[in-house]
Amino acid sequence: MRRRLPVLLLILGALGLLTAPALRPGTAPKERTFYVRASSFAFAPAELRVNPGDRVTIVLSAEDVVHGLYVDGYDLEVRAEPGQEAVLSFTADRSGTFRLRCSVTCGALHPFMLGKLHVGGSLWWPRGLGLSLLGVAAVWGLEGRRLRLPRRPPKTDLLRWPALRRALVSRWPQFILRMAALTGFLLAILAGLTGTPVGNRNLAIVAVWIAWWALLILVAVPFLGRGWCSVCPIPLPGEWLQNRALLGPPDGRQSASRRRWPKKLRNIWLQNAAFTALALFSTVILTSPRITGAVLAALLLLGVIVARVYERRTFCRYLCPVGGFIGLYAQAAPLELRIRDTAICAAHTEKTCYAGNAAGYGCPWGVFPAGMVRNNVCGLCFECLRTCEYDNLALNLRPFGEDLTRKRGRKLDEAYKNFIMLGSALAYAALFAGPWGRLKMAAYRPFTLPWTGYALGLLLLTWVLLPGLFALASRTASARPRPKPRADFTRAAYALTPLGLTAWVAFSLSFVFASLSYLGPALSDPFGWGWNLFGGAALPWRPWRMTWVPPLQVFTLVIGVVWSLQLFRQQAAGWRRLWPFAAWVLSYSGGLLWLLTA
Amino acid sequence: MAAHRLKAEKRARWLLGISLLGIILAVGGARWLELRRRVTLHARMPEQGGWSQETLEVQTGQPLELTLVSDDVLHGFAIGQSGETGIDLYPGQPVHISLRFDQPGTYTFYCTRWCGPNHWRMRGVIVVQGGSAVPSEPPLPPLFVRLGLDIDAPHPAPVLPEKTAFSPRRGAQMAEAIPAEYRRRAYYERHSPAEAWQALRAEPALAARDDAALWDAVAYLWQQAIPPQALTDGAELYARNCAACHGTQGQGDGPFAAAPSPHGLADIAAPPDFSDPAFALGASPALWQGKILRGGMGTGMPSWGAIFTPEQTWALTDYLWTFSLLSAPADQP
Repeated sequence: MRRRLPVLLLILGALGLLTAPALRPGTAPKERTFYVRASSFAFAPAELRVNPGDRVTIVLSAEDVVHGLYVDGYDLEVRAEPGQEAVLSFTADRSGTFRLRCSVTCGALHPFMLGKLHVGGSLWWPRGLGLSLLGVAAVWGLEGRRLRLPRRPPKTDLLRWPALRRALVSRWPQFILRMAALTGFLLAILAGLTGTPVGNRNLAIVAVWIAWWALLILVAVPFLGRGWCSVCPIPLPGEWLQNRALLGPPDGRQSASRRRWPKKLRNIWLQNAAFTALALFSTVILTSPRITGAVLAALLLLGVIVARVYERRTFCRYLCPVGGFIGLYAQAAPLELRIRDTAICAAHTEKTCYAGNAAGYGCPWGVFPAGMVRNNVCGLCFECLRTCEYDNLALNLRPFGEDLTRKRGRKLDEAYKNFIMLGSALAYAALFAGPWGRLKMAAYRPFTLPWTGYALGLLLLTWVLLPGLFALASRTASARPRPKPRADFTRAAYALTPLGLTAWVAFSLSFVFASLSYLGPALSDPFGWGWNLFGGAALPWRPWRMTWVPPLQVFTLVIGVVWSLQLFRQQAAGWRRLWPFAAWVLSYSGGLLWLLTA
Repeated sequence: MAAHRLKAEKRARWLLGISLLGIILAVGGARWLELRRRVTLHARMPEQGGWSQETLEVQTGQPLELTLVSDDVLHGFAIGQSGETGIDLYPGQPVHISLRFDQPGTYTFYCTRWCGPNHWRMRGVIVVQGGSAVPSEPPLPPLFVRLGLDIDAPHPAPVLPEKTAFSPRRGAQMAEAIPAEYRRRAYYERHSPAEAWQALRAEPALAARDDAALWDAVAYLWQQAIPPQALTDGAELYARNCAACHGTQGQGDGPFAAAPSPHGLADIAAPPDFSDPAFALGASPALWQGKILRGGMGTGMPSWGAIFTPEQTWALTDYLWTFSLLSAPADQP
């Protein structure tokens, strides 16, 4: 009983937090009228504060083009044209913070033209903070307590299913999936370059930045790790040229050996830089079909060029801007490709998995499977499955995040990736989920003075401020008599990986639910040429289940907080060594939750 | 084994070739067929180029197949003087229409949704040629031309009321004493309220009435000359086309009133205040209709002659009085 008491208290606390109404003095309902001016791409005032039960009247006036105002959670909409005010009246009978969204396409940044309606203040931000604190208490309070889990949790080798094994060894299923991905990719390029310049009606924007991104960050990365890399179309033309075959396997006419990637660059620093560079221009890329089309085409071309000069999948491993973070977060996934028995590999002199044989190519990612302890550089291409002569590979279902408990092979470049991802999630939450029109415009006009400010801010946040504060925490938590700051920093930063993944999931939820309804029209009329392939071209835009979003964001992020703290605790026992990290994690998650749900 | 592999590789290449060529041919072919038989008219904000084509040509009686599409914000499309409110063009959502003109001539098309301060510059023409025009009476020139009015000259009211609230209802009580000629629509169209007041003041039958009562009588004359339907139509036309500059209350304070001049002229007049008696009571309906028809005047005022029907310009002119002479809320019909 004494053991169970803290657990019980925690559960009760969590339930209490979830059911407690927001703390506020009861007020008599009032009539409130707001004069809201809409101009591209902001509402002024951007935030409206009322008490529950108030009768709210919004008089909307447009100052440049036709705008609309949609209230999340209330599912109400009104439109105004310059010179014609429109009035929306309703009773604020739902508590919480709701986004106001422009509902008439008003230019490139239209999907991000936002305001807020606070009905008695945010419900989910305080709850999120409370739950995070409870999470800290749980991680701290349960310290030293032996949870009754087996030491090495059992893994299930999915290859024990003969059908799955056959499907993976055969090249056809993968080839079909890759063909489908490549066809979609080319359609997206075509739509981007030749279709309508209106982003939310163009397949390039909707399929890539809404559908693909949602599938990648909400499903593929958390559950399959590098599963996307397995079918990604970008490196395919280059790889086919290298192999001189689409399907392979090699028939002895292997192409001349290509150069190895320079040793100094055999890390993910270039990917860190590439992702940051994209982040500086993301507002333009995300909203302009032409630029999205050009970027996709450039990636395809770069893939071919790199594959002509350098061996194997150099592009994927060292250059792909998204490959870096997929590799980082793949370590949290519950899926791994590993060898079964080290002794067999050690005794196998040919190392066909690395060198290739008649059944398949040597590891395209340049990895020797027997030495692999983490998911970060395994592209799940299953080539080793085909080349192994001893059937010594397993595709394991495993506990989430197992790689993150492995201390060997941690590198500063990957440690830094955590901060780039955490920082950009924070910046994007402010940019794309916040009500600040001037920030959006600054980010949208590259090489102007305001953009320089945005770019410097983003660079400082991701490359200096977050890692700097973390270095401070790591320094404070260090127990060494003679500190090794850099090694400690690198070692500790890996524990932030779950937090980063959940931060990106939480941020992505904020626009995926709101933008899901762009999908019907974009699939039915991919180019914005007036087609109606599936009868969905005229479907209206309507945010979907917006009231689910803040609780989902809170749950996701609290999972990240607890998971990361659990990893910190495993690295360094004792509250004295845990609190600096706990403070860092709580400040970050609190800030992100504030941007997303308050 | 090798033969088996070769066969698989061949199949894969076929599959790749067919799917890639397939999408390119399907998309390109469908697009080509579409472009061959339809004219696509893109709408962009005026600062980004406005209509992609400002002159369209078609033969009399032949269909003009148009695909209208906005590339940025909400625009609209209508043919001038058709009396129709227009088709909304939501960004990236093309609309297919078919137009047919039975009379040769030049027709104006224009944007019907405010898409920036230069919205009204989004106009183009459809030149309809061939065939023979059905002979018809040439239309009369507009009233301001027939009257020889100089619509650019200042028009201060020679007399001003002491109060700015007028009661057509009280004015109606004097109806018996007012000669019938004042009550005709033609009298209203040709005189300013100040002129009407002066004329009434000179009427011996009204000599006993005080000045303020005579202003009520003028308001009554104006009200009874204006058909109620004209006020309803005028209100709608004003809101859609004028309020963005002139303001919803006619005070010259719409969101685009302070917009920089599209001509780059430094000294451009702000829209006037229609509720200012000194400005409003010295103008005749004919003068205002003339300004609406012709526009210009060195201000940002566009010319609406090619857009509105004569009934619409009169409805607008009538409606403008609700900002001054007919503004008393209790007396609104």
